[in-house]
Amino acid sequence: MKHSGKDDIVRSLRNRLLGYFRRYQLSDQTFLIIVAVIVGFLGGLGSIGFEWMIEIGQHFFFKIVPELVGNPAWLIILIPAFGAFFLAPLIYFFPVEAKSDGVPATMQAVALKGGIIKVRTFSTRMLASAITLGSGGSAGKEGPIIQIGASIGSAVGQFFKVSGERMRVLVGCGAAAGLAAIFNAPIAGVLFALEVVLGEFNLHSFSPIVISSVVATAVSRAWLIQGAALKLPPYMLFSYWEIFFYAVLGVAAGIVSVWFTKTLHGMEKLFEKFAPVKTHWQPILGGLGVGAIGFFFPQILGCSYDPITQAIQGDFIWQTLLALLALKIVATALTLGSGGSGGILYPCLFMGATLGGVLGLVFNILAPNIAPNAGGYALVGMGAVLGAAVQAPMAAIMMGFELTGSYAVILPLMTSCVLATVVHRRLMHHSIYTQALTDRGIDISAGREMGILTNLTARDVMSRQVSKIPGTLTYNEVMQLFLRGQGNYLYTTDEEDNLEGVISFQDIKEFVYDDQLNGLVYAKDLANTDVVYVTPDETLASSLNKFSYIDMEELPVVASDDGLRRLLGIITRTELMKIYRQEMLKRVMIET
Amino acid sequence: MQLAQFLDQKHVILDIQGRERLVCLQEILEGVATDGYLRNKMKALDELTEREQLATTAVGGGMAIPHVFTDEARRPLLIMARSREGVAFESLDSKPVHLIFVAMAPRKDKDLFINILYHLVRFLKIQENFDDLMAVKDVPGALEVIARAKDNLLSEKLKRLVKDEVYPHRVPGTGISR
Repeated sequence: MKHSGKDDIVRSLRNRLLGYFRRYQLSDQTFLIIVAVIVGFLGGLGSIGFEWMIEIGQHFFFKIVPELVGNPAWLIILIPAFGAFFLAPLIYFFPVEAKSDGVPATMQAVALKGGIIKVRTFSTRMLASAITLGSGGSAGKEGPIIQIGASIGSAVGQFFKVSGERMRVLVGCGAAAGLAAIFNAPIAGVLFALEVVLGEFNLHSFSPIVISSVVATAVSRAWLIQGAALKLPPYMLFSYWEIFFYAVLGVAAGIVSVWFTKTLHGMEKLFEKFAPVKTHWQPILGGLGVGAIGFFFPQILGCSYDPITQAIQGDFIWQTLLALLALKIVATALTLGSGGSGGILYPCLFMGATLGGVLGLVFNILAPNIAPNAGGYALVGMGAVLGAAVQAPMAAIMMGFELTGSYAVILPLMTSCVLATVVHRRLMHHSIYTQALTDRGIDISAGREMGILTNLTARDVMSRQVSKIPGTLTYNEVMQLFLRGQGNYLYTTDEEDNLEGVISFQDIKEFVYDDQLNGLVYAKDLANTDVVYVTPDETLASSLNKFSYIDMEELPVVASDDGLRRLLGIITRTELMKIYRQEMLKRVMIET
Repeated sequence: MQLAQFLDQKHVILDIQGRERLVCLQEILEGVATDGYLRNKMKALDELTEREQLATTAVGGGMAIPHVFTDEARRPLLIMARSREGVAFESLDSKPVHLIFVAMAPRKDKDLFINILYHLVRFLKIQENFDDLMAVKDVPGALEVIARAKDNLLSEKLKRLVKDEVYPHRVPGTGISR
């Protein structure tokens, strides 16, 4: 009975709000923008709450507990493991929500579940991450806050009963809000949500996400504890020859990002297969390892921005920087691989800063006149490793730009970020996020689950209604067919229905009202013979790939096994996406 | 960009003897040096003849524009031939043909080529141009007349792609051929 009372309140609130919206006849876009403001506001509050919980965790694990046992130096080894002890019940009861990085889970929810995220994800993730990070686990708070924001967005969407594309947009709004608020970087938040979470850029989702990001940043700037956000010194480019060094840094960053990705996933597998204890106790093992590293290098513990700032200011010698780089990779792999809760954004920034710091010192020795300041490389390195690992160069570039606030950083950042992204992509197919999903058998590319698309073939979505014409049709006849609305493409075939070429209306529309060419030019002359086509047994994933590199709305389906090219039908881009969405919905329904 | 750009001065024959269209085509191709333009002249002739047999390219008004896309062509080219007596070309208006413009281009230059044909027809349909070409005494004179056809020759889209002096080797297609 108690439950239904709560439901009644929710229902009446929803009906009242929707009543207002209806009365003012709000458009779809306006509605989304209003809801985006709500998501942004709640996302901002969520990030303040989360920040506050981490502070409490740190105070408890690094102040209260040590004072209780008399502040022995060796205690630091045990603190992360002690924190992991509290994680055990969370992992035991909510294994999916509490473990691992939140961003892949959010991507999965967007691509596979239409953006529906369980409401309890929010609280479980907040608590688990606050414990991990508060007790010195080596991970970031950005991944969790993105998921927390996304689940707020999804919850608001579920409250208003929005569906389909709008739900995805609201999840994107929440993710952008979370990241923007915690980093104080609204543009980067927007781009991250678009590049990584939704996997696509479109105008429809852009405005709500921007608004949500702005509101969240404003909320966090107004209330967030001062000094919590990363603040970087302004940047200066000394000589344009430095761009060359930044290119080298970019390549190195790409390699480091692959190294990190592989170590992290290797560690996950290692724990999965060989750990002597049950899943929920594993973080304690990881915690012990992290604690041991932290005893010698306390900088790698937790998610404080201080070591990054120090690396940029040049407070470390190169040996320390190199050690920190390698140990951060191992420590983060231990924390997250063993089941601790946290993100990888901050560790990427840490690795980038130390890598850049080392290389900056090397460049400074090689060419002191060209590269007098190693700090700049540390700064750009942050963006490069991040952009490469998550395969989102635009978000990384904007983040570096926003955090430093100096426009001069743009050229080096673009060079390093893009190169690092390309190098990572060359060395391994997946980003650190999609790799995590691939390990679970889910292949997400551009915000879509490719598994669905590889199970269906062109034959399944093919339409047999195709405009075939003989190559001997005159120019005027071809024009008449186009003008009578026979689609935008005509396929020229021989007597046996073999495909010879395709005429696109786009190509000849400039002569539409002129018949100078009649009698001179035939369908055969107008057709492109170099046709990109799919075979009936080709998967939709491969078809979609072909759509991405040709500029056509449809592809001919051709049976080409006997050396001939018999035209069977066409598949259109729209039909392909429709089938994809239907299949996705089916899956969601089976799962729920 | 102008039509004359595709017409080499070596490719103008002011007096051809043939009186029948296929004979004429052979005479035209044999009569000009096409080094640098065509890979195998005889193969190109075969393709041109094949196209001509599909349907006549004499669209009336005393002119014919035999044309073909052929991979034998290295770049788009025009060959102009004139017959004072007239050639039986099975033209649409059943009149003899006096001006013959052979046009050939590689497949990849489809868009550019269609444009060239389009503007060639428009140019020749203007009686003054036709008459002047019939009246010229020598090759430079003929080129001078053709050189008049230089403005608004191409659509804005193609104009941007084609530089004034140099024929570009690649006109990016509008999508399909990629």
